[in-house]
Formats: sequence, structure tokens, C-alpha cells
Amino acid sequence: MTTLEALVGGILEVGAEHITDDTGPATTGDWTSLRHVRIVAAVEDAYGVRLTPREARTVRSVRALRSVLKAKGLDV
Amino acid sequence: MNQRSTLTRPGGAPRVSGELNRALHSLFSRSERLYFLGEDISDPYGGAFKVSKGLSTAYPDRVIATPLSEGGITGVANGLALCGNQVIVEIMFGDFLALAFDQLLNFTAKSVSMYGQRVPMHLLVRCPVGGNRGYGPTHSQSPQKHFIGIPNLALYELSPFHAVEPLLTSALGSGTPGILFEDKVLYTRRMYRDGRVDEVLRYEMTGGTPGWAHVFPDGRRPDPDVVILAPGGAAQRAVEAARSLYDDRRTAVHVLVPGRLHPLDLDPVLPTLRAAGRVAVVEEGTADGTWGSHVATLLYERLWPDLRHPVLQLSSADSVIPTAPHLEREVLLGPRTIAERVAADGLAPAHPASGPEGTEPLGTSDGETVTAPKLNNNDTEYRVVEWLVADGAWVEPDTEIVALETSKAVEDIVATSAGHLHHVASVGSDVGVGAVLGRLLPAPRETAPAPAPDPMPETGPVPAAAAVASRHPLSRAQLGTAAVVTRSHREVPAAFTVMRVDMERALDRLADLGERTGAAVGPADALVKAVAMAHTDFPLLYGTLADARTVALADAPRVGVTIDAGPALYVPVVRDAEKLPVADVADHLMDLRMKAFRQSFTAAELDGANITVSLNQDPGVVLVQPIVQWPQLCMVSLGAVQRELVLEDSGAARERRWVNLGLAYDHRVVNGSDAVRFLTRLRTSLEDEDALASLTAE
Repeated sequence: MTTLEALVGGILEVGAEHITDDTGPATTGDWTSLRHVRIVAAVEDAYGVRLTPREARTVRSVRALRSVLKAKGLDV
Repeated sequence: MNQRSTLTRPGGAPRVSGELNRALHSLFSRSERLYFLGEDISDPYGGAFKVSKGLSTAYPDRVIATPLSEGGITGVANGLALCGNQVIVEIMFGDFLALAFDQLLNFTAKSVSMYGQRVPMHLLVRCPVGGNRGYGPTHSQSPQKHFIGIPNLALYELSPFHAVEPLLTSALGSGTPGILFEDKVLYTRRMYRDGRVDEVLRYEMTGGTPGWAHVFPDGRRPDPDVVILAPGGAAQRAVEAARSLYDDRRTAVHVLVPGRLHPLDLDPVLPTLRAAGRVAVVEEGTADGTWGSHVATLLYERLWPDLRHPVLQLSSADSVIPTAPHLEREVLLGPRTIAERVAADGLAPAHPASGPEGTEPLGTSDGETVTAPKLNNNDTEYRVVEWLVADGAWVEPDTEIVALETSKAVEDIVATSAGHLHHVASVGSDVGVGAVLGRLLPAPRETAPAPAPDPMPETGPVPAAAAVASRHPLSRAQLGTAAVVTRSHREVPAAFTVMRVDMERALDRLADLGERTGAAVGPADALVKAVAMAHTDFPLLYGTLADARTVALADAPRVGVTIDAGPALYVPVVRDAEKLPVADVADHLMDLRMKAFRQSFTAAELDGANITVSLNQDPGVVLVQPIVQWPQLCMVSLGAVQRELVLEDSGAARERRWVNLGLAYDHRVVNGSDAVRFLTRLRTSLEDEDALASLTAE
């Protein structure tokens, strides 16, 4: 499976090696509101989960994404 | 003394009023049991529109001027008719038919059938109707719609095409009582004669008496592109619209004019309607509950499989009829509006100005034509998405040769015979039902094929480019956006005001809220709520134009939000935002963004906004001037957060974050001062400490 970093990097159009747990709209201007939607949708599709609107608003970093996925029982 | 000579131009076609007068004289000369009742109909006045001139002099015992009592006149006429006489009643203005409604509904019509056997009632009520004369609200109405569907009451309408005497003879002789509506503008017009309207348009009568007048361009295109059904005075305006559409677009508009509105005999004109598949119904009566909606229902019942487009119903505005001529013109349906609406709603395909030789001919000797079949009842056009067989290749019968995209699916079209396939329609073009897609030729063509007709009739002819590298067909979703913005630019004279908003406090407060709730809340969320909260104080800005002079106010704010999440631009609606905590508004917007990305909206989620917020917050966007999404009156625009250094009074420099907040507004309703007050209110909501506390209260 594609790693979370690769998935986010693909949407932000940067290499996975540039993605860290802190990567988010607060650290990079590439993480726009439109890309945020695309990231959430890509995560949902890749991991077979659905995020509530509130969860979708909380995932403002790779770390937060990982946390939500772990809360849903996924090992990422 | 020949009173009629004053109404007839020697050597020319008679005026409509003169033709009426002549017909009445003739009827009286033929029947000794014919009576004529009405107000001020005696000589020398001869009726308000001089239609009865000379009658009281010639037939003083049977032409009876009455007191001013429409109910009384009609009641007397009912008695005369019940006794076996023929009676014509003149109501001075159709508006006053209301005073005779009880007699017409409960006595005239019911007398035919309530005596145990059919009792013929040879009674006809004549009345001038319609506006365009500056007579004001109570002397200009077209009340036809109020009489539709009364059993045993026939409705007729005068036109310059229908010979008057046969019409009156038929109506009086039928035994079914009736009302003859006479558009008063027609009285001074001349009757048409000899099948010619002007140098372009001809007409034929069909369907017996009273039957239909069928107006069509002279010999240019045998089949109509669109048919307009129009009675009486509206027919005159429809003919003018047909002429302008022919002159401007070479659109073959046929106009069908019924002599009898109800019951409507569609049979004689069904072939013409079926051939067109695009129908508009026009009338001068005011909007809603119209004759046109009744006709549309009949057409859907009779022609559903043949219609390529919903029946376009055009009427005057939902308004009283003003006296002032410039305001009256705004309310009443005119030829320009008919032409514009027929063209704008896609009913009127444009053809090359060179005429029929510029279009792709059907059924020529160049092999078998492959045409676009009717694939569903929703679409008027299909898109050619792919040729499945190469140009010039040999195909056998039943080979799938071309794929057409409807709004819901892609359908493969098969060859009905063998031949070398010659492509006519290009990939990406939109084609109507019956359009030529290609040909199956016995041998390959050696010459280059002619280009397909231009697929975008609404935009008019596109100048030929010197060289086209490739073509980019617009998606269905983009075509939807195109329709909305085109309508906005056509319908809404918009103005735009921008205000700068200091976002320091708002962003800090929203950040605090995000920290506390663990979920981000942004300026867009706060603005949507602020816009909803302002509804109470600015109700006009959330209204819609009901007609040229009336705004329908909304009971609650319903805020549309532009969301461009990739595949298409959507404007879903946020309801109750003024009551929700801003975090819930943020949840709602996030849900809408995800639905936009996945294109999973329901129709209800996209319908019903009465104001819209346009979000344009990508980095670097300073300002976007939005459209006003008709029939809404306003669209708020939010740009991206900008940063700047400001010099404090103390001399210290600090960073300030700010946004541009804009308001595009329909200037017919909203003035610049209104826009400034509204934007100031929104700015206060985002800058003022107390207002922010209210806005972000949990």
C-alpha cells in the first residue's frame, strides 16, 4: 500500500521524502483548502474509511491524519 | 349611409374593427332573431371602439343599448338565448367580465345541460382585452385564463388572420355559448389577406372554422425549427418575433394561431408541432395559471415522445398593468422578449446566413445518411464523443459506428446498412435529434467533407480561426456553469463594491476556537454565518425579483457557497447558519466540500439559495468579482488573507492580516449605499470584539 507520506506528497506534488508528521497547512502553503479535500478523499479511498466532517477538519497535519486513522483501527 | 366606409381603406385590406363591423351587419341582415346588447353601442357613438357603428340605425329593435350592468346585460341575453334567439353581448372592457362571471358560469354555461336535454344557447359575449394602450390596471387585462375549463363555455379569440364573419357564424351557430376575446390593439390593424404576412412570412388556414392560421417563412425551410402557439394579439407579437429570429439567425419559426382557445383542437396542427419538437406558447395574460400552462399539459400528453425541449411558456409579468407606457411595456409580453427567450432557451437553432444550401442536406443521393436518433426525453442535444469506425472504412449493417453522450449515458449508434463511412459530425460537437452524423457511401469520398454545422447556436457564428491545433469540448458540468453565468450576464445589471476588512481579531479568535475544539475554523465559515445573521436587517438583499417592480422577500437566509473542488463548480446551500455554532457551520461546509469533490450532491442540497458567498481564498488571490446568480440579487466575495506591515501611532511596526470583502449586486434593486451598509455590517461582524464574540459563541 502507498504510504501516508507518499499519498500526501503525491497530492502536494512533492516527494515523499519531504513529508513529515508536521507537514500541514501551517507548514506549507501547498496544503491549500482544495488539496485538503483531495487529501481527505484520497485517504478515505486508500484506507477504506470515511471521515466525519469534524474529523476532516481536524486532520491539519500528517500526524493528525495518522492519529485519526489509528483511532479507526488502522496501523499506518 | 354606409358607416363602414369610415373603417375601411379603399383598395386595401380592411382594418380589424371594420371587418368586425361588416360581419355584424351581415349577420343582422341574415337573421331576424339576432340581438345585440351592450353599453353605449347605439349610434352615433357606436361602441367604445366603434365596432357597432350603424347597427342601431339599421336594426333599432334588436340593437339595445343597456344600463351599466354587465351582470344584468348577460342575464337578459341568457333569457333571449333560452327563448331560441341569437344574442351578441358587448362588454365594453374585458376586465368587466368579472361582473358577469356569475351569469356566465352559473346560468349561461349550465343552461346547455341542466334542463334534462341539451338546450342550445346561441350566445356570444364579445369583449376588448389586453393592454398596450395606456388604459391602466382595470382596463388592460387579458382575463382569458379565468374562463378556461368551464363546461359548455367556448373561448374564441379574434386575430387578423381569421375571417371574422365565419368565426361569428360558427360561434353563434354551435349552440355552445362562448366568449370572443378581442385584443384592442388589433382593432386598428389591417386583416391579412391572400396568404401573405410580409415579404418573408406567409400563412395558410387549416383545421376548418375557426381553425388555425399557420405562419411560416416563405418557401425557405419546409420544416419548422420551432413553433410558437399564440392567440390573437399575442400572435401579432409572435409574428414579429418570428421575423426577427429569421432575419437574425435564419431560424425557421412557425406561428400557429388558434381561433378557438378552448376547447383547443390540436389535431390539425399536430404534424407541424411534431416536426419541430420545440414549442413555445405565448399569451398576453399575466403569469401563472395560464392558458399556456393548459396548452403545455395537452402537448405533453399528445407529443411527449416527439418533444425535444420542454414547452416554453411566455406570458406577461406577475403584476398589475401600469398606466405609464414605459412601465406598461415592462409588464406586458412584447415581441423582443419572445424572440430573446426563444433564442436564449435553446429553442431556436441558428442556421448559416446563406440559407438552406449552407446546411447539411438530408436524404441526398450521396449514400445513406446516419442521423442522431432520439435517445431519451431529457436532452435536446447529444455530444459526439467518439467515432468507433475510421473515416472511409467499410462497415457492415449493425456495426457500432459512433458514440453519442446524453446527459446520463453514452449510447453507441449502429449502421443500418453497409457502406464506406464518411464522418460528418466532428467529435466534441453537439447534435440535435435528426442531425446528420455521417454517411454510408458506396465508394470512398475523394473530396474533403464539409464542416459540421456550428454546435453552439446560442453564441452565434464563431469567426473562423486561421489554424486550429485541436478542440477542447466542454464537459456537461462546465456547460451547466456556462448556462448560469450567461444568464447572469444577460439578466442582471450588476455593480460591485469592495471593502477591506482587518482580520486580526477574527483570525485569532477562530484559531482559539480551533484549538479548543481540535478542528480548524476559517474565515469562510465565519463569513457564511455572518451573512446569514445579517438577513434580519437586510431582507431586501436576500430577495428575488418577482417581476420588474417587485422583490419577493425570503423568510429565512439560505446561503449558497461556491465550492470548486476540482471536477466542477458547485453552489450548495447552507441552511440555518444563523442559528448554528460556527463550528457546526464549518462541519457543514466541510461536508459540502467533500460532496463537491465526489460529485455526490442531491438536488435539494443545490437548490434554494437566496444569497451566495463566493470563496476565493487560494494563496495570492486578492479579489474576485463574482457574478450575481439570477434570480438572486447579491453575491458576497471573499478573497485570500493578505499580510501587510502597518505603522502604529506609537511608531512601532506590526503585521496585519486583512481580506477584501466584495459585494456584487443587482443594481436594479440594490444601490451602492445599501451595498456599503451591508459590507460594513459584515466587516463589523469580523472586526468588532463583541460582534465576534456573538459570531463565534459555542
